[in-house]
Amino acid sequence: MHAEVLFVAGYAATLLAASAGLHRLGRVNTSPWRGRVLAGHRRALGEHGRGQHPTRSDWPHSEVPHLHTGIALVAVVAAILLAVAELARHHRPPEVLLLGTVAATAAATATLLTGRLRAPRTSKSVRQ
Amino acid sequence: MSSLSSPTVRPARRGLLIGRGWVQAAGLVALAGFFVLVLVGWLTYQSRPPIPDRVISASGQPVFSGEDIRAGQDVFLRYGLMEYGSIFGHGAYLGPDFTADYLHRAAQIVQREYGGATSDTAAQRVRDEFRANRYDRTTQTLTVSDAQAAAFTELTSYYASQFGSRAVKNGLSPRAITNPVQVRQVTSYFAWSAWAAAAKRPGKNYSYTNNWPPEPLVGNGPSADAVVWSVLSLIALLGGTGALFAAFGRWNWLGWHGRDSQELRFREPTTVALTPAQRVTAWFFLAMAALFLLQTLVGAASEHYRADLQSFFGIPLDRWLPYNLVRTWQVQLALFWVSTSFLAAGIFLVPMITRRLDPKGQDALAYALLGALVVVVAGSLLGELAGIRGAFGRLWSWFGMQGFEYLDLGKFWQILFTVGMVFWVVLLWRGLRRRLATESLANMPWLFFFAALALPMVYATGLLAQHSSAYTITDFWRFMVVHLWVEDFLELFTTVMVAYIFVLLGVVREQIALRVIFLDILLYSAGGVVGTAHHWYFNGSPASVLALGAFFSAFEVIPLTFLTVEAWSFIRLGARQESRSSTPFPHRWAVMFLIAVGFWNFLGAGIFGFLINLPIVSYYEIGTALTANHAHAAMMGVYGMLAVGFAMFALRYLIPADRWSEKLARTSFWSLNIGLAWMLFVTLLPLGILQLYHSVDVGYFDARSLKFITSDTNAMLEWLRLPGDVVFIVGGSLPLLWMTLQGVWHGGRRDAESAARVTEPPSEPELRLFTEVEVHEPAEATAAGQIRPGQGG
Repeated sequence: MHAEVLFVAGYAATLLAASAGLHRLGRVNTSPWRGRVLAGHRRALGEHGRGQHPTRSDWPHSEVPHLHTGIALVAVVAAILLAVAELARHHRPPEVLLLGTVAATAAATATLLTGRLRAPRTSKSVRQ
Repeated sequence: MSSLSSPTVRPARRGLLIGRGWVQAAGLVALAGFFVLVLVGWLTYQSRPPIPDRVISASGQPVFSGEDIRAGQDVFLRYGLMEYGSIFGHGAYLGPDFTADYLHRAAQIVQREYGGATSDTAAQRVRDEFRANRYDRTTQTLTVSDAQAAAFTELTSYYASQFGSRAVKNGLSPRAITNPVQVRQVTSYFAWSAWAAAAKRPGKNYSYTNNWPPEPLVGNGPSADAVVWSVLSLIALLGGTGALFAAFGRWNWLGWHGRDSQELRFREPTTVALTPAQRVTAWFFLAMAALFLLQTLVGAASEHYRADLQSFFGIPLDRWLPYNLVRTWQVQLALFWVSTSFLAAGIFLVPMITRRLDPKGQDALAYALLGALVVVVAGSLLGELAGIRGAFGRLWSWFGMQGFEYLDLGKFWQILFTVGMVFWVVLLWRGLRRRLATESLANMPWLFFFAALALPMVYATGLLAQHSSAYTITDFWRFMVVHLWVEDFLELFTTVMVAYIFVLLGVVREQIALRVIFLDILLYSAGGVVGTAHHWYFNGSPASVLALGAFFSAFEVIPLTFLTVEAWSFIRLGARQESRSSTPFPHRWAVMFLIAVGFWNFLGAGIFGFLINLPIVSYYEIGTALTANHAHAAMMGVYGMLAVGFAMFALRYLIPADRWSEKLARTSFWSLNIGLAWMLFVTLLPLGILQLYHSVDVGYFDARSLKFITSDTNAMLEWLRLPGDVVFIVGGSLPLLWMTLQGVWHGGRRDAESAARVTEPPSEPELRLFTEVEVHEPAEATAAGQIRPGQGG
């Protein structure tokens, strides 16, 4: 198998993993009263702050997942394009199998992320 | 707080809104940082590689002189070779690194002379010869072997063919440099840089450049300092990040104590009165958008050279717009359009801060500033065009191409630009001074003014980069602009501007904004000031500079990777929910661009920056596509998005509600972000990884060669960038240009209509951005967080 094929497949797979990470990172709550980074501080305050958590999604924190998922989707589309372009250059059976698998996985991921992007934004789109 | 005061009674200064501890800590850390930076400067001046008066062969024949070396640096800069290839790793990335190129070729020629590539004896002799430092300080004479002298002669002919041939297609214009004297001088410069790269520093077992570039032929490998300080830098990053998380988890540094319970009513933007100077900024933002579009086009041209060196879709572009010219313009325009936005945003914000009308003549002065900016931009770009072709005679560095990457513009234009920024600060002072008289020096109005004042002051230090100075010295001053100005002081100004916008909109308390600003000062001073030295690992600065740069630049990365806090500092803690206000929040897209800034700060500056920050990585990577990956992601992702965000904020007031297009704003936002992500993920990042691998596996010289850069694999990656670039240009910059045109068209017209109805100048309430802060329930009573109704900065 051509070394270039291995590189492109590996890189595309890394993009998929990174896109999953980006998408998940976007769901981390950045609101001050829900962010994990303030866990110690909330414990120090006790119940004092708890009752004041907003019940609706906090804008603009609610936009953060949207941007992250959008960029993640770009990474996934990049993975598809690279795999397909590489297939055009190198297409022996093992290469087709490898690159095809990567492209198919990327396509499925793209479908998933597109669905998430189109879903209505609620507080549940941000991890509590 | 009323901003109107009786003319007979001097208003008392508003007390400090932040604890003295913050101010003292920020001051101390900044002072310490600058003290170390001055020390680094002293070490650099003391320890730079010497330029010999003469270079002679072992048999006593003159090879070249110190005058040749200095003149060679002038040739290198004047003809834009630093925007074609690089020297000591610094410059552009299409052409070779000339230090590495000369070193490798000279070593090969000498090895051939001594017995060829298969001879171990020859190999050892080459290593010994190149690493031996035969510079005599007392006579200022450098002695080279006869074989090295012969290599110099042979390579002079080689570079003559590279720079002077009509047939060689390398991205430079045909017959770029044909004067044999100039070719010999520039070859002398390359030869000297190669000597500094291989010859051991007196008393040390590594070269003046800490053994850079990696070159097995001369025995150049990573020094112990490069390895050890890379490890320590990593420990500093991990430890510092952990400490910051722990601190934020434990202490309520930023004054959060409960959800705020006020509701704001945002004023419809078109009901907010604009002053004449604010209306002038519409032209600034139009200029910004036009320069941005131009930058994308020359950027596309420079990118095309990497995809197809032979022609631009059949057009021999190198004849009129060679690579080094379009790359120069791309880099300069990036600085110009972002600066234009920042200057305009500062002018726009002042009346909102003071809630006063402009002082008399402020609009005329703003027009004058705009005119000066146009003169500087046009003059410098045209000067670079002419300068690269050899124009201006002895005044080449004044009016033509000064030639330092990022400081390419002629010295005359550089001075004018600095004066322009000072003029801008004067404009701000005129508008702010009455308000400043009523404020403590550490409150936001003064911080805004100080941050603005710092911009021309720090930029001016770049004037000390002189073409006649030794390279290491020029690099020290050059990075005062490229790093200290861009990455630290522009960052500070950014933080103050963004915080102020949110204070003016009422979505954050001034006390909290102040703490965020001071926290930023602390974090960036701790890392960013001394961290400037991470650009000087291999440019002839001593190993102690490498150590300081590696360690402290890790601290610079910590706030950038601290995504949660970065997001907060931009998009607000305890932010008002958009839906809570009975009037819509008018700055959705400005805030979206700020969210993008936070994201790209994390990915582009933090992750991609630290990827290339460790000395051991930079050793193999400097001057390759991973640097371009970081540069594009950080410069466009942070400052570019911010500049557009500022424009969106102002345009919201300049364009009538019925003309404001959410669709255009949304298209521009997503196109710019998608286009940027595309160019990184599809091209720059994979190319950079491949190039780094090749640099380690085969050799740095080979990884920087045109043969590698124009290989099939690389060409594929470069071409795949095209769709993303089209999205970026067409979807990103064109809608923005249209919106700024609307700002010019409607901003003036609208006010003419309003002026016909209004007989009085806008009053103070009409300059506010929000009204009626309603308190639903008592806020928690703490000294840090209490806000009085109506207090909005």
